[in-house]
Amino acid sequence: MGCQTGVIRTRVGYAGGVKKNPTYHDLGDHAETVQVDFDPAVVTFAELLDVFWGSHDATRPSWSRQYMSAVFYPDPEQERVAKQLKAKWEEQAERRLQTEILPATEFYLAEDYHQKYSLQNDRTLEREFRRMYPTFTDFVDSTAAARVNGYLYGCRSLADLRAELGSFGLSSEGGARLLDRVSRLHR
Amino acid sequence: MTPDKTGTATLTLLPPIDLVAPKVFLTASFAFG
Repeated sequence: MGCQTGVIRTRVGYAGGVKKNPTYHDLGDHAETVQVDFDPAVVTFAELLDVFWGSHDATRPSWSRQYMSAVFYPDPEQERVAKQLKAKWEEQAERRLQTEILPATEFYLAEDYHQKYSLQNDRTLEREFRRMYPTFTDFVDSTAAARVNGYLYGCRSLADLRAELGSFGLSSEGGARLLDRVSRLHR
Repeated sequence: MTPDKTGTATLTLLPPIDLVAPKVFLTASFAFG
């Protein structure tokens, strides 16, 4: 999600359950969730839903509630759009989607090591990014970090990355490192 | 800018893309573990 145009921030966490203050090792009835802040003037919720359903096979039942397919809506408009799009995807798949469309409950931020996971696991890029932000929260909230993390997962193309690489604040070494990592994903 | 204990300051340069965050945004939440 992080490198979709119009996405401002991505944070991973736990949602959908009633357990207070869940942790990765004590998740209770929550599901692993990504919370996406986006600029509606640039990308629509419907477009993000297409990315969501295009990125996993929602016709298969999930292994557990932790890994369920779900959309958590904060308002009636997102509920309406999500239900409408789900019906479209079901029509195309000619099967029922297992995705649950549920009202958003409290979102609990996951532990630091889960945030921007791919980026944090690249020593060169992680070091550069941590230098740019005074606190870890600033790093997690960063649009640049969200986008770079998304590219490291292989989303979008190398040409897309080249077009916006200059906006990420990386050194020439960092930029070369990112291009190298992403070009390997697209070989 | 973050002042350190000796009174000097360290410049924190944010990436250009972080400096143009829109004033209006929406939030969506997805689970697809």
